Amino acid sequence: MPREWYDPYYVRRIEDEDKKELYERIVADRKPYFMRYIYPQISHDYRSYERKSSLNHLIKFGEPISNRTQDSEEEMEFIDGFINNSPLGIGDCVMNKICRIFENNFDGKYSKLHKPEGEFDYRILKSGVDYDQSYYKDINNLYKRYNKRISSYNSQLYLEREDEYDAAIKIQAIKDEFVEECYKICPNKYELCDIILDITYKSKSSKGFAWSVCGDVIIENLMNKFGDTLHFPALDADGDIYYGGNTYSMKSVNVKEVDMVVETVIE
Amino acid sequence: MRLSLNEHEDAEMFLSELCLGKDAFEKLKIIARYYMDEGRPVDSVRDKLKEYVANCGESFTLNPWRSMIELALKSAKKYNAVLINELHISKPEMERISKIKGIQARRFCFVLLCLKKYFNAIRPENNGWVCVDHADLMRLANIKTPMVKQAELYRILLSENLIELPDKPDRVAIHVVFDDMEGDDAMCITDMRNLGNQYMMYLGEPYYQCQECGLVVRNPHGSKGTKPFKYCKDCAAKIKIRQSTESAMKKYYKDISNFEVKIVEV
Repeated sequence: MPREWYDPYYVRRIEDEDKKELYERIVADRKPYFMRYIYPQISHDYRSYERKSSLNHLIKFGEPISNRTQDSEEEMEFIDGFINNSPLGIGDCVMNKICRIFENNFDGKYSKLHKPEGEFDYRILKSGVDYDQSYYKDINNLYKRYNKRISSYNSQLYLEREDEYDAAIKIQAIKDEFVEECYKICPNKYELCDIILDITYKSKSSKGFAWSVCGDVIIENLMNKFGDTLHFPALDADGDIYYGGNTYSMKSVNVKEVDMVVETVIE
Repeated sequence: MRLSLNEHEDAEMFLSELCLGKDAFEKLKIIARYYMDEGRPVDSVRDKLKEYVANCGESFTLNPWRSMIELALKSAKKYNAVLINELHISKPEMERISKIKGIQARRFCFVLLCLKKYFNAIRPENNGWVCVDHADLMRLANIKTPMVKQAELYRILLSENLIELPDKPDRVAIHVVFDDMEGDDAMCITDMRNLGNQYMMYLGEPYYQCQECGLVVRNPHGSKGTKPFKYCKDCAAKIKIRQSTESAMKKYYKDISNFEVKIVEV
């Protein structure tokens, strides 16, 4: 890429006045605002810049930068400085406008609007067996180590922008390693399932660990409790559930009956 | 952010504790400087840091320790270890601070003065600049108020011409224009943690110094507390575990000795 396309200091040194004027107008020395969702490091830099600038605006004018009025000349100068020194181009281009529409409608609001009613009772997933408390302590320590390892790896990913496929493989490798360690501590899969459910569902952290280690046991428990019947939404023109432009209705299937039918067909 | 008045002492403590904790980078930086001051070559320091991280129970396979170690080495090559030991605050300086309106603004000003003296002592060409993140400043001053009130503290000090702020929108640095005033010592700072609490203790408020780690903390019962506290929360928990272990071991050895006596008697 020619240097005059992205380096404003290089453009200033161009001797031909016409060329210099042209490149000064079109030099792309920073990425546009919407690209913060592609480059995590730039997004981090922008957030930090915005936080610091907002505090300084608050100190100087008594209002956060989001409530800027630009009444005084001093405030206008400050805002100009904020726009010019920003690590991202925050002008009103079409993509930035679309990005802001998405931010205004989805940023933190979606989860608030779709908050589940009441707390989920995780006991429905449990096997219902008694377990030794010493196992609980050991598994809890292992779970803390797992969280630390995953967060450390995620922070590395955040900075290095690794390929999604490679990252998924590495995370799966970490999970496999911990699953093995869990079974070394507690070989009984039903006890292990109850211990892990008690640890993960009592804390606010991710429940992925429970599903990675004992997802098959959880499914088995649910099947036993509901008589091997699966309930699922199926496409139905007269259905009462509306989602994504289609209507659905709840259907039930007994897995054992289906298995028997499949077996007879095979025979 | 970790500010230390004697980094060699801190480094020795970290090496004996073997725990990286939250401020791992700061610890690695201090240890790297300590080894550099011992006259070790860079490769040897790198190996020592790797050994330290491995001894702390951290894995090298899937985490950013390696880059952190390189950054710590880079910093250690650039700056020497801090060996100031103490900072002196004079009586006229304390009197000037006491004229500021509001206890939180006074506490904040005291912290800025300490930091200015600290950075000037480390680098004489610093000329009164304090480059510390806003959140760290508030933590050092032990101030927990909403952002609007925190901004108000800056405005009070600006109106008293004690600080100046650069025009850059995302500035972090503060120019402390509070002149050093000669006079008798009012306070001698030997610990850069909880500076705000140290100021409150100087004013005679119900604060106490932990006898184990030296941290100044607020007395949770205020001035009404009957029995003075000895230890901070963390040290108290550690001491309790140590005492109960000692007591259990004492009982264990006592039982064993009784058992031996009985055998002899039989």
